[in-house]
Amino acid sequence: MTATQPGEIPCPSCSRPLPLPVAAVLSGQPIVCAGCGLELTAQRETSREALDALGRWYEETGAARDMAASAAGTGGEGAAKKQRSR
Amino acid sequence: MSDETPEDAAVPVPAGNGEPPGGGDDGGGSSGGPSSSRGDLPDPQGSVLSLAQLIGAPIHALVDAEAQSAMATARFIRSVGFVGNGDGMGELGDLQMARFKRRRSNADGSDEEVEVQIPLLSMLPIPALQIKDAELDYTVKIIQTEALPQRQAEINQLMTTKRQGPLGEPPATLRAAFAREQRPGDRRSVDMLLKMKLRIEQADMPAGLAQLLALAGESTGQKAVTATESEEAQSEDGTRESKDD
Repeated sequence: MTATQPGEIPCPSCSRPLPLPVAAVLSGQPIVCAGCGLELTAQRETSREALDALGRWYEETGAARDMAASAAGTGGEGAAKKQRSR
Repeated sequence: MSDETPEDAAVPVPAGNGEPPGGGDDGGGSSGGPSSSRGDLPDPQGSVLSLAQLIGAPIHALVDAEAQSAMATARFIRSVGFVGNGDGMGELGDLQMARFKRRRSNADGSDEEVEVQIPLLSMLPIPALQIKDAELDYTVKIIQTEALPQRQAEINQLMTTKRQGPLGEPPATLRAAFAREQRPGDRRSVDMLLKMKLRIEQADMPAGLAQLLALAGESTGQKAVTATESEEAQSEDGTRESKDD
């Protein structure tokens, strides 16, 4: 199995590292492998507990992500929200 | 450090502070200077402590902080990565798995739906912080030098004779208190007793955690979803959604 970083898994088809963006997983968007085109879609009906835990983590770390993004000068969801509100 | 004379080690005391060493507001509310009983070990409650204690306390705090950080990481892994975790530290329960579906083409040209189970732990960055470097800047005032208390010296002698000084005399102890720092040109005295500068970074993955993630990765599995299972899941989802409504 290919070694991967947290937040990515080896693609079940081609074993290349496949990033799993939490926002995409939570929103039900298909995750597409850049290597082989495989599409993974979260099964909300059978992973409700896991997705709930993931959602809680995502919500609770939102402020920290925004701070990290703004510190890096790349903007973030918070910055994007501010832009939209303006 | 024990070679320093009190004069060498003392830092300037703000002008006008004519209090005797260890008295008054010299950083921490000194309560009467050195311990009155010279033979006793330093009183940890007082602000005048042995230099080793003064230096050691912040270092101990750093180690303690790292331990707390490690415990927070362990709690995170337990709460997010596992389901039905037991009460004891030894029981983790089952891995929390997220399920995905994908389509797979078989050799005969037919398509089938496959369920992929991925441990939640491998989808998240696991917070593991460590103190990369710490810069401690002490300003201390040596209040008194004294020979190590006789009792302690005896214990040391029993344990090893190598710890004694070159002439065989028991080592000296310095008693000190945090002191004010006076900056030239500043009219206001600045009570900077101990300056601490820390740099925190994401720790390299500990071997145990890497092993756990490897095991989690091995738990990633795939299985073909039969038509019955697929229908059941869809109907279950429909029921849940109607309940939610």
